[in-house]
Amino acid sequence: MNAEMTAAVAVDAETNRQHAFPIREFPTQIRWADFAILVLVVGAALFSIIPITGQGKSALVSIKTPDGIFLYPLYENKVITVHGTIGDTVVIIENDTVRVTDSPCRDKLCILAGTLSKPGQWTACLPNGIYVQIINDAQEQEIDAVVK
Amino acid sequence: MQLSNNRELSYTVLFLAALSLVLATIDASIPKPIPFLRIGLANLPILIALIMLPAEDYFTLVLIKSLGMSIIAGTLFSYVALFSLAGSFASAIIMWVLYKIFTKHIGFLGLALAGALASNSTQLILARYFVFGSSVRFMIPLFLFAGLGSGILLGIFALQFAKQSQWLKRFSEQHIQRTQSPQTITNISTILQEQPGKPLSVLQILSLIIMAAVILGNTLPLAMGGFIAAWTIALIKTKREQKRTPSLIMPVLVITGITLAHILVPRGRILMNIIGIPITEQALIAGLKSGFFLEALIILSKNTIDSNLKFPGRLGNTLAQIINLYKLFFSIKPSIKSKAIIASIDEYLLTIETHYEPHSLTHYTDNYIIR
Repeated sequence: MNAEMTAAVAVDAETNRQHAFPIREFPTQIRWADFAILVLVVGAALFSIIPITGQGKSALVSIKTPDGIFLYPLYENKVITVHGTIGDTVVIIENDTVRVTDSPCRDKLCILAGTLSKPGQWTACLPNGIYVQIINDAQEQEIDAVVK
Repeated sequence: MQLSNNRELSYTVLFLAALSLVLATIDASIPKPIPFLRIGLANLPILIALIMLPAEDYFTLVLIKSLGMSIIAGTLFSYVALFSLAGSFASAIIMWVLYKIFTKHIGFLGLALAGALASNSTQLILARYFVFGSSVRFMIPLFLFAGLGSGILLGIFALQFAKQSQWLKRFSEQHIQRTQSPQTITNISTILQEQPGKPLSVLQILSLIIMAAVILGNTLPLAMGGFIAAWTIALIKTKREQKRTPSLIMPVLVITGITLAHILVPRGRILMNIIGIPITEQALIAGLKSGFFLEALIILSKNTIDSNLKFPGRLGNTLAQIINLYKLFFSIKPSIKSKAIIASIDEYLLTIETHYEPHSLTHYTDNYIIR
């Protein structure tokens, strides 16, 4: 095939392809599928507000130490090492629960307290000056700090 | 005329792409109650193409429109361009699928809404990994309501435009004529001459090096240093080119916004309490880092790209042509009245179309573009 023939074939293919595409009118009215999509989108937008105002996802882990107060979200897995008065305490946040796994104290009461999962639950290592608690939100932390 | 094996882009696609860029600029300049609000005028040509063009041309238009906008905004080398590209494609695919399914039962309102939502959701997912971290959940309603607003605005605008526009009627009639008699198809690509690429300047190369350092280092000090360096280069560049000094307001707003979003999810030691909100160390550092990182990349990208920059390959060529066409369109100044947006845009389009029809375009390019 020479160059001219290739060109002719290309033009042909082009016209065929374009002809095969139907010529359509532009929509000028609102149709029923438009309403359906509008309702879905408005619904999705309203629904998306719920998880923010609702409880649950906003729970925090508050760790009070002689170094200051530390806050972490309960929903994020994390291993935290904090410095206390006699050594390091290891706190693990995992699958929306928190527990103390290592502590320099003698009686290990803080580890024996086990896994915390609900707001209000707490564990403490008094010899090391560490206090771990699940709180609902940061405001609660504030009130707590004022009370103490 | 010698046809290459690769199909050349038709006049219709190139015109719609350039039009998209023009409308984006017009959209940004219409006064609105909230400065960041957009009607999404740039998507009007996409909606038109969805009805008028076969899938291949439609998606080509989406690609070159998105890249072209990133070049003009100067964000092509930052991940803002990736956001824009991903958002454009998600919205284009959703609109195409919905139109395939419903065809006669769906109009511009539903298409624009679904498109805006798809685009915003995609950008939200990307923002989760690049900008906001898990604080993104606070942004979900904001993005959804923004999508709802811009979708309704664009949908109603497109409906009214389809009803009233003289230009659209003419454009689609001529498109049909062009496709039915291929002899009259004029490829702009053969008309617009290739412009020689300029070598990169010292400041552009310096910006690219800093960009690499900021990305590879990925730490707060490097992001802040990169931001300051980028800003200094931008100032030197604007002074040299005698342009208006760019404002620091936008970058500062963006960095503050991103930092606040990170602080909403407390992490680490409480540094201080501001109106009951604890400012935690790790959240603050992560927020500042994302903010400075993003803004450093955007400014560095703007420093590197000017619209005369030539990219290699067929795509690069096409983009250069579209940006030329965009500048050509703007050589006629649009006078857009906020009270009669559709009528004035229609009038403007008729003017450029009659000036730059394929035949007269040859004339114009001979006189202006080649120089």
